Amino acid sequence: MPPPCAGRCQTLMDDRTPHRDSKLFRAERPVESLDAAPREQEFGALFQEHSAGLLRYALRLTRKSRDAEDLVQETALSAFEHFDSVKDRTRCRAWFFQILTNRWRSKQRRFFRREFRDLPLEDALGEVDGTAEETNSEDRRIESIDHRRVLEGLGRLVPEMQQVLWLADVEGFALREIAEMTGCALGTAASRLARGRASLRRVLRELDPELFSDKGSSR
Amino acid sequence: MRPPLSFECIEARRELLLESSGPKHAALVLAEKHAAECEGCRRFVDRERATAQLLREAAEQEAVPGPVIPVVLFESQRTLTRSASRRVRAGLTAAALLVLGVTAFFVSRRFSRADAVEAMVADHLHYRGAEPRPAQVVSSEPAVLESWAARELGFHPKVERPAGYDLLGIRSCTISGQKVALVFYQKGHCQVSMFVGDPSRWPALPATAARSGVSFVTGTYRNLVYAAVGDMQPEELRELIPHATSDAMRNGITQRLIDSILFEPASLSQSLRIDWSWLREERA
Repeated sequence: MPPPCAGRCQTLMDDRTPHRDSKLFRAERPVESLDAAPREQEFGALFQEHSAGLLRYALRLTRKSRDAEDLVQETALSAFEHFDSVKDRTRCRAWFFQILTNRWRSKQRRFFRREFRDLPLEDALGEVDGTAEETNSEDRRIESIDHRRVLEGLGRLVPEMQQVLWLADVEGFALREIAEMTGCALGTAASRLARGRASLRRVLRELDPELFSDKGSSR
Repeated sequence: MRPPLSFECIEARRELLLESSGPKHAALVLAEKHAAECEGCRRFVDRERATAQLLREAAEQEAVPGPVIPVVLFESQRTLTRSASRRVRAGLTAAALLVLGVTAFFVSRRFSRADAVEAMVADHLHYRGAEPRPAQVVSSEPAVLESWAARELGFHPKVERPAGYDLLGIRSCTISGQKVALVFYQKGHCQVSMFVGDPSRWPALPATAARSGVSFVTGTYRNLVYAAVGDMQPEELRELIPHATSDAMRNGITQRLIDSILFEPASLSQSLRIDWSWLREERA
């Protein structure tokens, strides 16, 4: 005999919400049985706290403010619908980001299919080129790059790398959380992070070759 | 060719990368110790941190558009802002609302169809060009708006998104004592307000009207009344009413076809505007 929540569980298993085996998600009781007002109150406070970060992340993924707003709206509605399934409310931030990531991914799937080939983590842990002095000099030049140029550089990376870089370096999520959010293995997330950072540095060098020439070093 | 990394270096770098933001444990302590002694690993870690810092600072400086307030927040904020002192006054407010409600009920019963048109046009003119737009849900996805209306208002309007129009969002409002869905559109600089309500509780509305320089067009689709108000021609507004034109046209043609075939075959060509003169000429 199926459990009483069988239908609901099936609904929750689609790509809009975290998988029911996820640590962030526990299907326990139907939404209808709960008192609406305190639930809305709690959800509202939590979502509002993280909405700016979510919007910024959505903007990074979609590149269009209207699409980003739509994505956040859909995330809010989906999260609100399944809010009672979250046992640990302290992890709601990761859960919101996970829902947003899943929704974006499913939207992407609708429009195009593209295979991204991940490399083993060991390949991303390579040596840093040049001597210590050269490295320090390059780091100083990179630090002087305008923030818009940095974000432009980030936008040139493949979406999978952008996603991991943003979640790790901007939002400060641990790689284990990112792996869960993006639905990949921990090693894959780490590989994307290391390769993403290396790619970002390379793209920044390409975007501003003058800065990295000997002439540019005097700036 | 560069020599491959030693096993210790790979392990240390992997550990430092994986656990950079997690709690410290023995393996991480060992990795940090290794990085302190190994120049290559130290540079690797420094570079990773520098890139992360660069990205974090760039993101912090990026301007973010205005906050999105989803409908669930709209409702919950109202609850959150209710302080203890407000609760004391809640009784008085409830009494006042009751009086207002009773009055509104009797007033709404006296509403004529002209009043409903005036109310919709006035609402449109009042919020025209308002920034931020007074939508409770901001979305360009018809499905999102339809599901919200179904949940909040108890009926399921069909939200169209014809080419050339931007779908902006939805809110609920009260017209002639009835809670209706108000969908916002934009076409170029022109804004359109589309009111959707239950016809049984709404007085019969004119098919087309013009008030205060704006056009007003209505149509019925699947037992719901759609009333569009905007600064454009009625024909343009009619595009937003779900299948109103096509349904009407289709029904009209079908009826005329049936009439023609059953009762008056000669009028068939007239109904379909078929020119049979070439056949007559050929026969002649």
